[in-house]
Amino acid sequence: MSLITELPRATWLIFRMHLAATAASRRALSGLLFAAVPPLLAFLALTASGSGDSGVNVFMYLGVLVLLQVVAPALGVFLGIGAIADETEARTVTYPFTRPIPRASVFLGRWLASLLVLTTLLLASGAGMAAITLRASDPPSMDAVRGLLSATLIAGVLYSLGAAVIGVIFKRGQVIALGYAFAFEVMLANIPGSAQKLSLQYYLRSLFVGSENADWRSLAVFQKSEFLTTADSAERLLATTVILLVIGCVTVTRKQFVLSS
Amino acid sequence: MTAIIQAENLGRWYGEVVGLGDLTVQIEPGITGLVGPNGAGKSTFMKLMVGELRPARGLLTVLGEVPFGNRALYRQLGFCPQQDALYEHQTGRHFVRDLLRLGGWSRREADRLAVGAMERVGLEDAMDRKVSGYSKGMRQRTRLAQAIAHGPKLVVADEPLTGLDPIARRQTLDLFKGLAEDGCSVIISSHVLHEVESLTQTMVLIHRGRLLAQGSVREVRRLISRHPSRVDVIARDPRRLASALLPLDHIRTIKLGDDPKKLTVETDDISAFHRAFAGVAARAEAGVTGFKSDDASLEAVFDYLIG
Repeated sequence: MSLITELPRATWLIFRMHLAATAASRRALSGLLFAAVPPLLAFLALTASGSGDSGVNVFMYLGVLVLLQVVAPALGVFLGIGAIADETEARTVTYPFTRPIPRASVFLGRWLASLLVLTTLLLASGAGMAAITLRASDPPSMDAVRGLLSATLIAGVLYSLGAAVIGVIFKRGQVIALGYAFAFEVMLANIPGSAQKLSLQYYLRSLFVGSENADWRSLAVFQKSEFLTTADSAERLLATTVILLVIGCVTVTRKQFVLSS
Repeated sequence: MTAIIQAENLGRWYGEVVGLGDLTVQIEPGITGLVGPNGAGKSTFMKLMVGELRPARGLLTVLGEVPFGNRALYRQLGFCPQQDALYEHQTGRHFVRDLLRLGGWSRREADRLAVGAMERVGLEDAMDRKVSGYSKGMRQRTRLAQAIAHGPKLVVADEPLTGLDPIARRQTLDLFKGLAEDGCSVIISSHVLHEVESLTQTMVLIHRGRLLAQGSVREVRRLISRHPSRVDVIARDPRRLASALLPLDHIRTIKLGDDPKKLTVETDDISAFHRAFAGVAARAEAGVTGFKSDDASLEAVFDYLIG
């Protein structure tokens, strides 16, 4: 069988082999707790505090500063990093690597299994937060909800893929990936100036701030920044995804994974 | 006869640690024992054979192919790794079946082959239980099942007898013999010489990453015949056992140490000792409670061989 036909077939089989285990893993269960944070904060902000915040404000601030900037990268790293790293740590990678399949399919199949779990958690988190804020006074528009949820899901794809690639390349990848997501990214994304363009957050924010919806522009955090159009940012994020996929597949194909006996 | 494994000046390092130094060897079809003390380079050699690692230098072909990332070769190869690792969330049957499916088998055919392989390793009653609940020996046999399920031309098994009880050990040895009768070549590694000796007459001895000797067991035995093997026995009445063992002609010395229940036997023929011991101990009624064959003195044998 050629690589072109074998890669999707083997990727699908690996995906199916690991989906249930990924969903029931400790990583996913801790992710569930993490995903509950944005809806919980929205609930507290609107009801428990009694501050009288409008739904749109709570949704936008929590959406950008908690869901997109903290929860999506954190879950992306926790779930993505294990794609190959878990197999090498458990020393099971020998089995798929000594089968007549492209090695890249192991990377892709396991990452996709993580991604499905991740997107489910992020969607639940974002939808929960939206459901709470939509019932408040001055609720966010559906456009704003759709924009933020789409950006969050794309963030999940990118952070998990980036973490998976880091997990393939480095032995202690989780520390590096977390360092990138929470030190490098957060710093760059929140200081004014062109340095923002070095962060994924800038392009993710551009996806919805650059759209026609004016609500986002009202947020103080966005007022000092120039954003790309939705189409331009989508194009760059797609290119980043493709580059990460290629790096991950090529590295896993060429790399020797030394396992202890 | 065409060699199934050809290694020429093969070397592999882990940083500054030498896994395999400079190994040149040819292995013919059939059952071959790869013997050497711990750290000799057996596992590294096997990982190179199955393409888990790439050589740092030299050439290696397996069934005429370079192994690393060679999908065509993997169809003909079965590997039973040493590390005790399985997909813990799966049953033994599903573990073997899913790995078969990666080889292109349909679900139904893969399931049939998986069941056959689990039966062949004696796990038919446990195959629908999760592997996380398996004993060490069952896990070892599951690893073996996935290596043989697809009917490979060559099975590479790294310390496959470790952790098995005597009955499972006998079944596994019979399994290897059966595979060989079916035309499958088998390479098994062990650091216990007599373990391999009961399976094959063809051996490759490696030490510190180099080929030390290759040939029949008899040739290897002749090389090491001047070096005694040591066995520690724990018994209720070691003096009585010592008296019973002394008449055996291959016994060189028997020492009663500080421990009142222990005796140490040095023998020139460890296989003959193993064969005779159970009968002698039973007749002597010495109450044997522990037995440790010091074939780890294989290290000493190798040191002896390399002078």
